[in-house]
Amino acid sequence: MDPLMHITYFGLGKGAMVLASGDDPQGWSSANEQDTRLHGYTLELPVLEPSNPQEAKDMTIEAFKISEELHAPVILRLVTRVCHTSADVTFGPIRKIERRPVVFSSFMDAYFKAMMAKKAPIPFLHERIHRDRMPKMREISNNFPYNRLEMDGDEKLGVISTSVCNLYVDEALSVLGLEGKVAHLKMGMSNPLPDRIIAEFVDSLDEVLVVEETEPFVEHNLKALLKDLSPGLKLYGKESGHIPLSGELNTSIVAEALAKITGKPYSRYTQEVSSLIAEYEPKITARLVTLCAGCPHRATFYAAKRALARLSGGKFIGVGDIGCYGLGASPPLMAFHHILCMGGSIGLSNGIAHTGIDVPIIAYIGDSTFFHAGIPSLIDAAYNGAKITVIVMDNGVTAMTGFQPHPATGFTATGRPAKKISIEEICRACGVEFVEVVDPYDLKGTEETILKALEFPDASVVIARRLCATEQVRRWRREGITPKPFIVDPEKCTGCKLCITTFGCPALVWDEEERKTRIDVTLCIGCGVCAQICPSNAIHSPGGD
Amino acid sequence: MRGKKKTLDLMIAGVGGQGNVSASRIVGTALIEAGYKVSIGETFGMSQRGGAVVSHIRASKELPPPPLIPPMGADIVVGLEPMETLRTVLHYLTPGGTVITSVRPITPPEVNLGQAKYPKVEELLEAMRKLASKVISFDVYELAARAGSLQSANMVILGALSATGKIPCDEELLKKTIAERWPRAKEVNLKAFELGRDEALKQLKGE
Ligand SMILES: Cc1ncc(C[n+]2csc(CCOP(=O)(O)OP(=O)(O)O)c2C)c(N)n1
Ligand code: SF4
Repeated sequence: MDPLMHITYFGLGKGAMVLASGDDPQGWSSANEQDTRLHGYTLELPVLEPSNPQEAKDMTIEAFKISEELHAPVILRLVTRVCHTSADVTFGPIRKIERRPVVFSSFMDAYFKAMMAKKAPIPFLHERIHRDRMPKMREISNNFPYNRLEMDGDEKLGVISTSVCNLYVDEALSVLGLEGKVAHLKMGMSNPLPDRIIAEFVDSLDEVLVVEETEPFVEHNLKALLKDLSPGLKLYGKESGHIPLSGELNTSIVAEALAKITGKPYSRYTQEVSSLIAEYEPKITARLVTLCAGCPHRATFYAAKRALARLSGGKFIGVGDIGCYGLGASPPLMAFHHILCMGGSIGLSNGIAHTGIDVPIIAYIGDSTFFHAGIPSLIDAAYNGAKITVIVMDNGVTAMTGFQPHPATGFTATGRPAKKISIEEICRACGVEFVEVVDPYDLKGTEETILKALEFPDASVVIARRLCATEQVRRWRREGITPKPFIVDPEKCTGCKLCITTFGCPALVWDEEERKTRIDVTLCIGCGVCAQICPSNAIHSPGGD
Repeated sequence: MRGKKKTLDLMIAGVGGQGNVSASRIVGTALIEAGYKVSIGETFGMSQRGGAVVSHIRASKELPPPPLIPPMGADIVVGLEPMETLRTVLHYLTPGGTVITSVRPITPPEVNLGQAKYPKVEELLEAMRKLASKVISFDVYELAARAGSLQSANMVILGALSATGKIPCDEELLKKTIAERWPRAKEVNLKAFELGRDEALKQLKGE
């Protein structure tokens, strides 16, 4: 936000800037439901909200045009159901744009001149936004082609929706048989609200339902407008309890709200289906996500827990971070107790260490996360003497978000070769004196090194380096190599189940009838780590070793 | 009260890593070729890592459909794992719809750890039969192995889907889409497709 708060005052000079921000109502793959539109309000910038992939493409072009016109950034606010939807998209003509650098007078120039003239620089710049940009933004919103009114004029009930909710409303109206009977304002630009369109919309209506994700952003701003436009209008939405205040919406939720307002009957399930759900759902077990078969993170966690068991009888404080290895918190590994946000692990560990608590403190941070936000707090740890052990979970990719490269991979986001930045050299340059690299598939070696790191009197780093198993399989496939699953010898397996209860690779399946472990050949990639764990030497490679 | 349906709604359920997202892309691409507006939404945790994944494939001749199929809205549910198939069928299958499912369980970690029990596959199928007019079931991995690669399980299920005649694009179009998408794995994939199709045709005739 800091750079944006400045850019919004100074403006862009020349060129254009579009900020695409993906919000995640329901937190499908996030830990919060941030609503970027509120940032748009704070920044006093336009916010566009496409409802599907086609509009996302088309509105991006609009966003650039608006940005050029206003000399200010434009926010393209997306939600999960726009980002995670694939659909057919029709392209317009693709313009070839000559890109050349342009020199323009410096911001500071204008800034100091203004400061000299007005003796109050910041309010001057802010005042300019309200005087010049805001009225223009309002005009753009009133003329924005994606702020669309669908009404005949004789409706009494209307719905205002934004983004993907436009589609839910359409479908809910159709499910309830209310098509054409309810006025609908589909809004593609929600900051600022198109006041003239809204005035026209509410003019003949008695009641309006607002459907939006996630905060009541339109609802609040609409209330402010209605005070003058139509104070008697009945407004339904999040604050009236018709639409939930958190979580993702869908067609059913909208249909329920409309049913409540109109008195139309609606239920998600028929009696028959409801009773089948009641009968069978309890028998279906949950399926929590877990680290992949062969995942090097699992081996690292296992080895670290062994080391901690030896050092302190298993007493420790573990702090995780954001990435696949975040899954190390679940059973049977239960490798750490705390996790906050991307890059939070080392900072949290620092804080815990400075309380003077007398148990080993171990932080797990992914290679990509380390580059993103781990380095300043590692310097803090080394400089301020926080006795923590940091394990860099170096799987060679940014796995969780789709195997993107990072600065140690040797190629850029566009696939261009680049110089590899060494994690170990960075750690040493941060002032850490204990820096070792291990291969997590070597369980014993990893355990010994982590133990040494935990015993080190200052901050220490162990880099657990082994390619992500899923990326490995992808690369093998490209080379025509198929994984060779390991085998459990039923003669030797005693059924102690240690491989499952302490390690828990998903390829290790417990056969309840035989009371032995077996290996699921569709999942096992032949990493061989479980073979190092089995106390009875029952697990071996297809070749027998 | 339910208004007239304007979309063809198909769901593919499975476990992350089974290839159901790729399978849904194939169906989606073929439907676009066949002249439909298509949207594919996905509900998933972290799909690559063993969680439940469901693709919502919606096709319409008119407007682009919303990304998620409403409850009881799916004309067809296809599943690569029997418990995941039922999870989806219970909430989404339109009574009288069609189900195609694999019968080979992928055991969730909770079950291996002894914290939960995996239901009997026969019981899962019985529940599906209570809602569906037709349930086609077989082990996708057995057929995929016969085709030459376990990775082709998702192609087996597409073959079976094409046999139902319930989606408005023909078998050849699906096969063409598959061949173009993975030229190097073309042979295995198409073999898997055929095996799935033959098995489904056999079961459809048997009824
Ligand atoms: C501030 C922030 N930016 C981006 C993300 C999205 N994100 C989640 S996991 C992840 C990558 C993690 O990569 P890495 O640390 O290498 O771990 P891996 O998944 O490879 O184990 C990203 C970028 C986020 N959660 N928070
Ligand atoms: S994608 Fe890679 S890093 Fe992530 S859980 Fe799977 S093997 Fe581990």
